[in-house]
Amino acid sequence: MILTAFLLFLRRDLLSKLTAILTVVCLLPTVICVIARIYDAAPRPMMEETMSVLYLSALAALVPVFHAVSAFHEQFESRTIVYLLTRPPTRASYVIAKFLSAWVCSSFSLMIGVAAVGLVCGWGTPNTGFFALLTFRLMSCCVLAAGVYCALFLVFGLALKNPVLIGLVFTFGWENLIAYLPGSAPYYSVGLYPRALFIHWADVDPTAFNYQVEATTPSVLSGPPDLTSMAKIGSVFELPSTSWSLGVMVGLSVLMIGAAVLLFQRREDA
Amino acid sequence: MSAGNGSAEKRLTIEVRNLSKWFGDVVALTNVSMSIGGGVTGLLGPNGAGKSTLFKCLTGLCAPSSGRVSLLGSDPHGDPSVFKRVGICPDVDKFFEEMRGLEFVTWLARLHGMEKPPARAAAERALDRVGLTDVMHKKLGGMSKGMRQRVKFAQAIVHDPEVVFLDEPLNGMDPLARHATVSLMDALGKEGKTVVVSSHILHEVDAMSQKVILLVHGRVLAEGSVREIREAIRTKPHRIAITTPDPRGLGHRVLGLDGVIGVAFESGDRLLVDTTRPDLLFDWVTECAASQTARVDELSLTDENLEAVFQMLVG
Repeated sequence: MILTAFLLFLRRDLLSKLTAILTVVCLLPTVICVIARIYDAAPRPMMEETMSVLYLSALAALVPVFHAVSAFHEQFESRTIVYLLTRPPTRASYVIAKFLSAWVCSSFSLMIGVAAVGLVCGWGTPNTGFFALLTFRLMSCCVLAAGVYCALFLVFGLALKNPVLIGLVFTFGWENLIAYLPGSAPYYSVGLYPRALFIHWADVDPTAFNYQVEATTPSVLSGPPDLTSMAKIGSVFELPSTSWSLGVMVGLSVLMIGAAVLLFQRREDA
Repeated sequence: MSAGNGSAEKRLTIEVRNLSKWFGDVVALTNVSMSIGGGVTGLLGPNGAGKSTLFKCLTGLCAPSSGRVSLLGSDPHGDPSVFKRVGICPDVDKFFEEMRGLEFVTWLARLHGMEKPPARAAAERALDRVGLTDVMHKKLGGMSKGMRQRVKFAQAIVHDPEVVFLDEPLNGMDPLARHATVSLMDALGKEGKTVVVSSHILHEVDAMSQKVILLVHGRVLAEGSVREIREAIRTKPHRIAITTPDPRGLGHRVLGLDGVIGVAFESGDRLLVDTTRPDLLFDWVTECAASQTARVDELSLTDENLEAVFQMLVG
C-alpha cells in the first residue's frame, strides 16, 4: 500500500507547478556558470567551490522546504486530507509515501540543476571525466541532503503553523549561521554532514564551506563527534568521517520520519 | 436471545455508546448513544449541534474523548482497514483542483488497493451513477458546485462500500440534481447499504431518510421516523430562500400554494417564503425547474427558522 500511495503522490507531485518552479530555481546557477565561462573563469574552482557551496548550502535545503512542508500542511489547511484519511492505508504509510515523493521530487530538481552546471563547467575542457565524476559526487550529496531535509521539514509541516517561513529561517538562518561559529558548533547543523561527505568524496578544501579546520587536508574524525566541545571557543573543528556523516544522516532521517508518524497519528483537525 | 433479535443485531453496522467529545473547554458531544443499521438514516441538527464532530468520530477522523464507536465491528480511529467497506463524502469543498473528475475518483479508488484498469472502470461506473459521465474529463477546478458535490459522492461509492457517510451532500445543488441525488441515496438504502446523511435542513432529511436522529447541543434529542418528528413541528412555519431572476413573479405564484403564509423580497434576486408545508413548496419548485416555467438558481431553507423549530422541540 505504501508503494501505491507513493506512486500516486509522485505522479501528482512530479508534474506539479511547484516542481517545475523549483527545477527552474535549481537551474539558475547554470546561468552564472555560462556567464563565468564566457569571461574565462576557471571551471574547476567554480564547480568545486562556488557551485558545490551554492547547491549544498542553499538549494539542497531550500527545495525540500517547499516539497516536504507542502506534503501535508496544504492538505490539512484545505482539509483535502480527509480524502486520504478515510481510505484503508495507515497513517504511517502515508507519511512514508509522502516523504519518498517529496524526496524524489526534490532530488529530481537538484539533479537536473547539478547536471546542467556540470555540463557547462566541463564543456570544452580536456578533463571531462573529472567533471563527470565531480558532478556525480555533488549530485549524490545533494540527493542525500535532500533526504534528511525532507524528513525534517515533514515534521515542520505537521507540527508548526507557519512551516514554510520557519523552514526558510532554519535554512538560511540556523544552518548557515552555525557554519561560522567556532568550535564544534557546526555539528549541530544538518548541512554539515552532506557537506562533509562531499569534502571527503571530492577532496575539496573545507574552507570553501567556511569550516575552519586545522590541516591542509581535512582533519577526519574517526569516532563520534564531541558535541560538548561546542562551548570551547577556538577548539579545532574536525570534519566527521564519511561513515559518521552517512550514519548521522540516516539516523536523523529515521528519527524525523518516526516523529512525523507520531505527529500525524495524533492530528485530529481534519 | 431470540433468533429475531440476533438477526436484528447483525444488521447494525454502526454502534455508538456513551460518546463524548470535547476540545479543551468546549464540549461538542455529550454522552451520545445510537445504533444504526441498513437503509438511510438522517442526522439532523442546526449549525453547531455537533453533527460534524459526530461525523468525524464515526469516520475515525476524531478519537472519542470518552465512550466507544464501533463501525462494522471495528474502531474507525485505530483500524483504517475498515474503510475498505466504508465510503465518506465530506463537507469539504476543496479538491486537488488540477485533476479531472475521472482521474480524481480513479486515484482515490487505487488507494483501496485496486489495480489501475479496475479502478478506472469502477470510477467510470460511480461517475455514471451520479450522472457525471458527460463531464468526467473536465477539470475539478472548472466544475460547478453541484458537479463537485456529485464527484464527492462518486468517490464515496467507487469501491462499493457497505456503509456510506454523506455530510451535507445537497449543498449547492440545483433542484434537479437534488432530486437525482436523493434518488441515488434511496437506491443505496434499498440495496441494503447503511447510508448516514447529515443535514441542517429538515426538508432535505425528510426527503432522504426513513429514520432521523435529531442532534441539538451535542446531545441526541429525538430519534425516530421523519413523520413522527415532523408532526411535532408541523405548525411551525419554515422560511425558504429562493434565488431567482424574477422574485416578484415567482412570489406572486407561490402565494397560491397550500401552506404558504407570506413572502418577502431581499437583495434584488432573493425571495423569502414562509410556509408550514415546505415539502409542497420544494416539490413545486422542482416541477417548475423541470418544466422550465420558472428559473430557480438556488433553493435553501434558512437556519433561523430551523433554530426556532429546535427551540420548540427543546422546549
